[in-house]
Amino acid sequence: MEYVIWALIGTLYGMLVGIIPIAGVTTALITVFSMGAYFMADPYLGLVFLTAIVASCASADSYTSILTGIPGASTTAACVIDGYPMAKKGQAARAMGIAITDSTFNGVIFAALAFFLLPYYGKIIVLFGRPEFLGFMTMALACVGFVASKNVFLSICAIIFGLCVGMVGEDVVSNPRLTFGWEYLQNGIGMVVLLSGLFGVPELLDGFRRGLKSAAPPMEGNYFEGLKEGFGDCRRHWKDMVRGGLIGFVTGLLPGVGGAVGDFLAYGATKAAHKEKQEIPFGEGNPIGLLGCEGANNAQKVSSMIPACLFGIPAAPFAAMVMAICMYFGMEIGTPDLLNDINFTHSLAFGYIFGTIGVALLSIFLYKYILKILEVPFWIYAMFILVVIVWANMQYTGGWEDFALLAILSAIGVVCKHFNISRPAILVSYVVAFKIDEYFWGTLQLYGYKQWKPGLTSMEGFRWFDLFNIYNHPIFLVCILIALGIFINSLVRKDKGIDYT
Amino acid sequence: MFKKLLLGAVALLFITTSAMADYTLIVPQAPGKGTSVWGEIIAKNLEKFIGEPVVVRHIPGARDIPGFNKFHNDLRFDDKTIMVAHGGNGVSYLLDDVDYNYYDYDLIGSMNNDIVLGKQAGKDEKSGTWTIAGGSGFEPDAAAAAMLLCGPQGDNTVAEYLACWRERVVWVNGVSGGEKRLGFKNGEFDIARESPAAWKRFYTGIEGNELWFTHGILDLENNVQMNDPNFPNTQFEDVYASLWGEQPKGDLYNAYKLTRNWRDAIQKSLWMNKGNPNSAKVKAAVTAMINDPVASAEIYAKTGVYPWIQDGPALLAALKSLITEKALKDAVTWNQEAYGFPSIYKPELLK
Repeated sequence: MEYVIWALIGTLYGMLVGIIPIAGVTTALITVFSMGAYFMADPYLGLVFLTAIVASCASADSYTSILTGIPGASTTAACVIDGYPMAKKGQAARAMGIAITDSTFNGVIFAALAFFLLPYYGKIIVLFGRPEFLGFMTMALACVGFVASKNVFLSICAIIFGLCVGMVGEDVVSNPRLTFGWEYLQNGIGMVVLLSGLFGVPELLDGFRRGLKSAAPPMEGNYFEGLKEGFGDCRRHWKDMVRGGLIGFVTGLLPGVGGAVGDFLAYGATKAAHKEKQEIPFGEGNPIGLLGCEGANNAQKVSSMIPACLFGIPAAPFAAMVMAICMYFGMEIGTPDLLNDINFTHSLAFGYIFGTIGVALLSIFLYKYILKILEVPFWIYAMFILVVIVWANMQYTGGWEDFALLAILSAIGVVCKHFNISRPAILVSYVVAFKIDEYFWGTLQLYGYKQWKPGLTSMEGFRWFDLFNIYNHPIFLVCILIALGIFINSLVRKDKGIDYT
Repeated sequence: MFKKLLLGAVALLFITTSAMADYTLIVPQAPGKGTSVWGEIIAKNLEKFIGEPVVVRHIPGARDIPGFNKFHNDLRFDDKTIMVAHGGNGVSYLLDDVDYNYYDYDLIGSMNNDIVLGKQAGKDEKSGTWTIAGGSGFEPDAAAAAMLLCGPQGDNTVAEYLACWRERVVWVNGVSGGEKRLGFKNGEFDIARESPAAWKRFYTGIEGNELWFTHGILDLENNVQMNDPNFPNTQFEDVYASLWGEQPKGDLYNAYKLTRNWRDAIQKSLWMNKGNPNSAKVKAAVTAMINDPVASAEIYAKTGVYPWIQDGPALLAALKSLITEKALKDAVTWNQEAYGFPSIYKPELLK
């Protein structure tokens, strides 16, 4: 029963934050981070709570995008293209019907597919040794740096900066590294403060700067009739709905790419599949455009958690936050033991599916209240969220250093946002930095590099052939080749496409 | 705009000050690590018996030393501050440059714990190269592994064992717990090292591994190491004797005993400043917590069932008896040469 209660609380909270323009899943999770201690005795309860937040927030983000034209989060930005024009034409209920059906369908189907199969994916990890992980981390860096972002120079800057931030703390033999004499940094920079600084605070400040006004346009006709019409749209165009979910799911699997990419790709694919002349052109309130991309966000949220669970590499900022909270609970993300823990996978599945269905039902019946929430001035809830973010970060040590670091990283986040420097690239580079260091040296040591102590090393007898042998390490070599391919492609490609940073 | 920011600042001040609690547990690690999770469980249970709120404050840093140093230099003078320390802090007390000193504190309670070592099933200790994943806190485990792999050596000096170590062992530094486990399962590493609870959870009943040895636990009354009742007949000395036909001895063995006991007898421990007026109250609360079936079940689920020690002077005397100039110097040499750790010899520990 306690699990149901916490799933419900998570659903309500996620829905509330999701409705708030600009604030998305990452913000919602940052604000509940300090509740982690409550769940220490039963971490699975905490897991149910946070996945319910993720699921409901993902759906509610879409409602805001449709009703106000302001993305609830970057991952639902594509929904604005056709969703908001529908709302402006008085078809908000129909658009909501599409959003609710699409989110619920794709959320439930892909959550079941992902979470119940997690233990089987776990068998893949056992094939990964030090070289394989090194190759995979390198590929993750290439993906996040050069797939989602089109500016090679800025991407390289972001990756280098992220690697430096991730290296702060201790080296593999626990000597302080890049701490600049500040003892506080000896344990590294925490994921929560980094996410708060890079994503949480800059988005809120941006809302202040833009003076967001988020009231929804008036709705025409009967609300329930409109909803029903939306449900019917989804039934008629179910293939577009499934395609969108599938694209979102696949892009979410790519380390560091999960974000706005899936939504826009799904939208693009829907347009490409409907080249015939449309009664309502795409971009002017075409329901097919909305249902083609709406569910991608939900499927992507699910699949973004897979690389986090399998390899400890978050595919999106919110997945990094899920990882941070799991680690707070003492769960070792990225190990097969966790994936074989049936309570872990069932908690993820239960929380996510409960949150997805729960928010759908709540949205149907609480629509009037959603509109009321949207009428609240931005500064009120933004101020509340800002206070909670600062407080959550100060739970780390309780000292002034927590605040100082948050301020520094927030300033960096604002600069990155302003100059379009890929913050996901910084985040992923930060996460893999220590691992790359560890796997690099670990690989060298396993194949014959000897370091008896600093300054006394030898490469004599290093087994180069064994390491770069396709029969011994096919995964390692394939990952390195893919990473190289992505990098070279980003240099030579003339059509740079959309920059999703 | 100014009014809005002022409102936020007032709200922030209210929230942060209202969260201040009476008792603070200082944990020298970031949230999520082993001792942090233990500290959270202790805090939650202890406040029922103290009758006042207990909050955890994390002060992490390199090798978990800065938090303990801060406690020693500053925080211990607060009457309601309790230090949570782990076995790695005990080893650092011997071998690293630290400010803290256990003899300046009252022991509130310490879990007398053990570590379990596993190996690839059927792998022969007397031949071949062994790949070992290391990390801080691993010092006594790898020293014991070296003695088992190399057996008796001429005069059993550290230099002789180092020569054998370089010949027989591939040492991979800086591998985290979960990755050690993964590496062991896919055959990349030959040795697994776990807490007793983790061993039972992750390895029991799984093919491909076998329990190699444990360190046993300290019998404080007689100041000797005894078999771990959770893993009978697996103590290092017994395994060594059965493999090599004699008891382990020599310089590395003495260094091993020193670091082993300074790690395991205080593997999870609570300390307050010596003479703190609240020490007796907190100690009584810990006693009540240990005797409470619900609270102890929650703690033992994390650590395994191990005895608590609350007699601080006796424990510190037993640990002190292991500190000799030779054992300290040998432990430092072994750490520097075998693992590449920046350990230092501290003659002041002999005083």
